[in-house]
Order: sequence, then C-alpha cells, then structure tokens
Amino acid sequence: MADRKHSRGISRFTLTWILIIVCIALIWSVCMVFLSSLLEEYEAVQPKYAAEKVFEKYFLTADSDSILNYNVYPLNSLEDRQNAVDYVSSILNSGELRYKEVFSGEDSKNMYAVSAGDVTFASFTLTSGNDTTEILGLAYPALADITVNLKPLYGTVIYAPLSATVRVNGNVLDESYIEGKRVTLDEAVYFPAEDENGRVMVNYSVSGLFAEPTVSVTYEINSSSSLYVEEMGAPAVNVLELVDEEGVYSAEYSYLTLLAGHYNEKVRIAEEKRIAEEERLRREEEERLRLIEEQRQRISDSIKVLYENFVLQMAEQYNDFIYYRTTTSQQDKTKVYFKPGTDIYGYVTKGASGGYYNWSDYRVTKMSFVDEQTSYYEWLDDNHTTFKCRISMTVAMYGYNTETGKYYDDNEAFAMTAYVDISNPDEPKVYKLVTTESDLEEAAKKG
Amino acid sequence: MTENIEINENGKRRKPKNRMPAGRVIARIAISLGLVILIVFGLVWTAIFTIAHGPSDSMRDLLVGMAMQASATKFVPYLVLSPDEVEDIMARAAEEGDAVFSPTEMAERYIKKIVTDENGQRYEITVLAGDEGTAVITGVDGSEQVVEYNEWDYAIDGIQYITVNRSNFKAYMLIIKDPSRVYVGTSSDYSGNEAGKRFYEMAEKENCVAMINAGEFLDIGGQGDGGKPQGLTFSKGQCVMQADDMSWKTFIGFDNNNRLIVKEGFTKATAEAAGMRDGVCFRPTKQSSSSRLIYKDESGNVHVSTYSSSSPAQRCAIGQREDGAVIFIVTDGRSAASIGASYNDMTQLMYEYGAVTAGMLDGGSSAMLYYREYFKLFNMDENTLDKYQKMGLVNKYVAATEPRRIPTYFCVGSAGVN
Repeated sequence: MADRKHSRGISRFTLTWILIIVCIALIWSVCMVFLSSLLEEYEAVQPKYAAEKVFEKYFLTADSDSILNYNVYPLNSLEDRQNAVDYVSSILNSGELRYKEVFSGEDSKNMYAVSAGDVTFASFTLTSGNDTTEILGLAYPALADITVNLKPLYGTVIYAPLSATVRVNGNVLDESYIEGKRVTLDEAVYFPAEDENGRVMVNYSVSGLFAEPTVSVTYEINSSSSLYVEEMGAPAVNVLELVDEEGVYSAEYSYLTLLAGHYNEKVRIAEEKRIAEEERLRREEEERLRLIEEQRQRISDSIKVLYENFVLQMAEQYNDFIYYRTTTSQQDKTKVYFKPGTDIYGYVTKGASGGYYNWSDYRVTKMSFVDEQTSYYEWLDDNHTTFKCRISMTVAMYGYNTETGKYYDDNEAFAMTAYVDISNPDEPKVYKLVTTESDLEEAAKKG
Repeated sequence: MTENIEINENGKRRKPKNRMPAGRVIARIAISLGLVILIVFGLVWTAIFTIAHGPSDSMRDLLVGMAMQASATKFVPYLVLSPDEVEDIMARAAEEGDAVFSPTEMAERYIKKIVTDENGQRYEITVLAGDEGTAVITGVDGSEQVVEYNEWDYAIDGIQYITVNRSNFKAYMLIIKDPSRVYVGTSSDYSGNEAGKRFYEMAEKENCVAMINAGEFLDIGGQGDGGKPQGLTFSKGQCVMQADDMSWKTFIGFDNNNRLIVKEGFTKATAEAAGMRDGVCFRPTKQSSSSRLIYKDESGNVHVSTYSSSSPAQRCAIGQREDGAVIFIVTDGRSAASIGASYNDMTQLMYEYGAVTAGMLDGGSSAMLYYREYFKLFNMDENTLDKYQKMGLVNKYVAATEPRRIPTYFCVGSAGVN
C-alpha cells in the first residue's frame, strides 16, 4: 500500500490536519480567552456602569437631606431646612426614580439626567478617571459632578408698615428684604393718624422657599396694643404695585382689607377693653357712691328721726306764710321756726306786702301746699350742730289771665332745702331756706 | 506478496517512490482548502460568537449597530444572534435622551467659528453664541480684550470650509452664510424609473457650488439605484414626493423664511401649510432613532438629543445656526484613519459650531459632501486627493464601487442666484 498508515490506522495527512486543527483550536482558545479579557475590560469602563453606581449611591439609596446638599440653589436662611428636605422627599416619591444619558455638551463627558416620574430634578456627569484597565489601559469613568436642580418655587411679598416687624417662618426680615419704594398713605386709613410710621408702607419680598411660608406682621400701635397678622402662605399677589409713572402705588385690595381687618379687630378689642375698663370704673364709682349714699342715708335717717316733725311743721307753716303772709298772726306763727338775725327770719317777719301772687302770666287766686316730705338729711359740721335737709311738696295753684280771661289750674312739684341750727337741741331753728325753684321765691319776692 | 525493486544507474537497488494517484492529490487539496475555509469560518464565527455572547454587551451592541448601518452587512448579526435579540439591541440604540436649553442658555454658550483674515489665513475662535461679531481675546498675561470680527469678510463666496479631526473620525464641514442658497436638488421628477444621480452628475445638473447627499431612498441589500426618495420630499417650493403614510419619518427641510425645520409627523398638507419649500426625510424604520439631533420646541427651548447608539459610521447631517447660517457635515468612516462618527458625535459637532437646529441625513456609502474645486480654493496638494476628490468630493469615498446614485441632495446655489 502506497499511503502508509500508522499502527492505529490514521494517515499522515489526517494526522497532520488533526494536529493543525488542535493547534489552531488551542491557540484560538487562548486568543478568545484573551479577547474575552479585552472585552471584559472594555465593558468595565463603559460609563453606564459607573452611572449606575452613582445613581444608586447618590440618588436611589440616598436620603433627601444629603441630596439637598447638591442643590444648586442654596438654602434660604429664612427656610426651615426640614421644609426643604420634605420637598425633596415629595419629589423623590412622586414617581419612579430613573436616569438616562443626555447631551453633555462636552466630548469628554457623559451626562445623565435623573428624574422622579416626569420630573427631571438632577444630573450628574462622568469623566475619565485616573484608574485604568490593565491590558488596554482604558480609563475608568469617574464622577465629575452632581447637580440637583430643585428650584424653590415659593415666595411671598408682604405689604406692611415700615415700622412693623415682619417675620417669615419665624425669622425677622431686615431692610434688605424691602423691595421698591416706600409709600406714605395719604390718610391713616388703617393705622393711627398720629403714627407716621404706621402709614409708611413697604413691600417685603421673599423668594426661594421650598414650602409655603408662615408670615407674620407685628405692628406696635402703642405700648398696650399691637397689630398682628398671621397668614399661611401669603400669596405673591399681595403686591404694592406701581400703577403709573407718577409714583402712584396700589396694593391688592384683599390684602389691605385683610390687614385692615386685623387692625380693626385689634382696635375693636382695644376699644372693648377700654369700655370694659370704663364700666368697671363706673361700677366702682357707683358702688362707692352707693356706699356713700347708704352712709348718707343712714345719717339722714338718724337725723330725720329726730327732726323730721320739726322740719315738716316748719314747711307747712312757711307755706301758709307764703300764701297768707299778709297777716301778722301768720308771721308770728312762722318766725318761731327760724333763727333770729338771719335773712330768712327777716323775710318772714317783715311787714306784709299785700297784693297778688303771680305765676307766669296768671294771677294766682288760690295756692295750697300738699304732700310735704323730707329727705337727704346731712350734717353740716363735725359737731353735729347744724344740718340741712331737702323738703319736697306739691303746689296746687289756681289763677287766671287778666288779658285773655282764661283760668289756670295746675300742680307743680316744689322743693326747698332747709338749713337747721340745733345748737340748742330743744329749740331747733332754721337759719337758711333755699328754694330749688328760685323763680318761685323770686316771684314771692316780687309778690 | 511481492515487492517492487528498482535498479538505479549505479546498479544499486533502491526502493521505488510512492506515487500518489492524481485523484487523491486533488482530493486532499480540496479537503485541505475546505478545512482551511472551515477553520477560517470557524475562527471568525467563534470570534463573532465570543463578542456576541461574551462579557461585553456594549461591544456587541456597538458592532451590531455598525453592521446594521450598512445594507451589505445587515445579515452578520443574525449569524450569532436571534432576530429578537437584534431587534432589542437596535431598539435600545434608538433610546433618546433630551437635554433642554432655554434660549438664554443657548445664547450664553460658547461656540466655534472660523474667521478668515485678509491673507486667507483661517482661525478657529470660540465666542459667545449670543455676541455675534465680538470675541474675547485672552492675552498671555491673562488680560482680556474684546475685539470685533466678521467671519464672512474674507470667506470665499459666503462659505466656510472646515475639517475637524477627532479621535475616532474625521469630519468635513461647510458653513453657508445665506440659507436661501440651500435647496433640495432632485435627480429626476421621480415619475419614471430613472436611477438617481451620482454626485458629479448632480453637481453638473444643478451647477451648484456645494452639496451634500440628503434624504433616504430604497436600498435593499445595498442594491438600490437611488431612483426615488423615501418619505415626503419638497424641492424648490414643490412637493415632489408625497408619502403621507411615512409621516413618522423625520422631515428635514427649509421653510419659506429659510429656517431649518426638523420635525416628525408632517404630511404633504401640513408641510405645505407650514410653508416648507425644500426638504427630505430620513429615518429608516419606526424603531430606529429619530433623525432629530437638535430642535426647537414651541416655547423656543432647544432640545439636544442623545441616543443610546454609539455605532460609528460615515454620517451626514445638516444644521442651522441662530443667525441662519447653514452647516453641512460629513464624516469619513470604515477606515483605520476614521472609524466613523456616532449620532452623538454629530450632535456634539453641530452644537459646538452653533447649531440650534440639526438633523441627520442619509449616511453610510451615501455620505458625500461636494464642494466645487475646494482644493484649488484652499491650495491643497492635488496629489494627495483621490479620483473623486479631484471631482469635488470633500470626504473619502471608500466603497469599491462607483459613488452611489442618490435621488436628493441639499445643494448650494451660487450667491445671489438661487
């Protein structure tokens, strides 16, 4: 046989090819392993893996507080950090947290946008890092920067008097927050006229807050009262706006109404306090007077017990004297009640004048005194030697008009005050008699 | 058994040679060749298989994307991957991410411009997009000086020619000052079966200064003759191809105000209502990436798209700056010197050179940028140019065949003529 075979019966040709194939297979296997290594390195440096790690570390597993640290908008000093953290949490919880690559604007960078639901709120970029792969020397991507773009959407404009204390989330606003001109209201519509500062109005403008702010305006009206406005999330429409080029400003009416409403409420409360105070004082005065009156009444009663009969007898006799004074007997009956040497004593003892007694346009033809009563006895000295008392009665008068011939018939209340000297308790004497109806006495004088 | 004994010239006996029959020799050669082919195929297959099923999904996706770019290599991924896997890879490649910039942000970014001095020397400067005509020069001592410039003062015929070298590709750009000069040139009226025109034929037909291949055409297996465009096509104010059933394709064209519009959803009626004068479509399938690279929304915000696909290829794109200047870009590809550009590379280039609107045009073997006698305008050594470059092709045509026949080109008419 020309083609010799090995003992196992395989030809050289076949053996050669087997060897070639085995060698190629071995070499190729090594090559493929090497290729796999290269591919492994190539895959390892793909930005998507670095991006996934960044996404997990800084967004997926991070808390809202740490994410807030990357925000491009610095936290407003007026903001409660917890508000901002809550806001970030609400964004993160608004939908599935995802990221995707977006245009970076730079060849050497990969940018990824991070979104929660439909809200894209952050981005991060990767760039070539210092670490490289062993075989290919490819640079591993590294985090270049993280940008959280959560724009605070809340703000407020607070229209308030210049001298008011304006607080946002409990923080007092200084003048740096004042925006625009100061405007002095023409009239003290909302604030006391005498308080100039109360009429100088300004706008405090606050922006960049993550949550609706709590706004308070405190205005000291005076030492005992103040204006206080507290409003959750004062809407930004409360603006003092320039409405023409001449510097005329107007404010949102509702806000002024609100402000005025609070002011008026405060004023009402203050007025109520004032009225209540006055009422209290009045009642105290009344009580004081009542006590005084009771005291006086007790004194009056004690005097009255002793001297009422004397006073009534004196009054009746005096009244008779007034009507019948023309007679000497009447004068004698009367003068015993009066203290000699006094004016009243002189009056009741002077000579009879005669004539008619006139009342208004009528000539009195008949007069009688009835229902005499005494009251208001009061000591006039500390030694209780003199007192005065009030004597009230009704005067029934009849008369006619000489010109018209018409008759007159009327009852008139009449009162007088008697001053009594009881230096000698057994012989009290009236030393002064004052009619409260002076015209009657005057008329009597004329009569 | 007897043994054949031969006597030589010296009278000595020697063992006779085993002479293999001719048939056996031929058979062994055939077997050997078959084995070699089999081994080569096996090696290639195992290499492809290793890549397809190895540790790098990214490399697999990249190569699948590259293979699917060219009609002639579309079958390769199916050798080692199932159709579903290929479809998944292509779908992921088409995923889009938009970065949105406000008009202010666009105006405040830095863009690159080319300034030609009176001696014809060209400089690339970086200026604020919003400050047209002024640039800041930083001195060696750090001092800054604002200078005025006019990029068009010494530009030849209102056109800037730029080459850009990046790590993975080489790009050629034309920036045309006057957008009204740019229009769609058509190879025919598309009524018959006439094939498309090669670039030099179209340049002669239109007598244009420059042009770039434009829209899509049917190209099954790379054998399309470029006779008819795919999708809605406008040329010189007329709709030359109505394709309302393909409104999902990306329309890239100019309106009557010479603004570049890159939009999807156009029908003939809506495009006419929007005042389109010239435009083509490009987007091979509904599943493939949109061809919108940069576009403005109704609010004036500019969306800059990023696609998951990073497959390099020869690519073409058209864009427009805020001042109206039109940008043509073509990149070389499929060569060691220039593997090719990805979608994102094209977006990056457009963005860098100031585009506020940009769309991808047909690429691959169709990618061609023509600029009449550019080598003479810029004093190039003609000995370094290939046959087609001497005919005005700016980029390198690497296919073994003649340049493709193309149905549509964006042409640049002579200044003050179109």
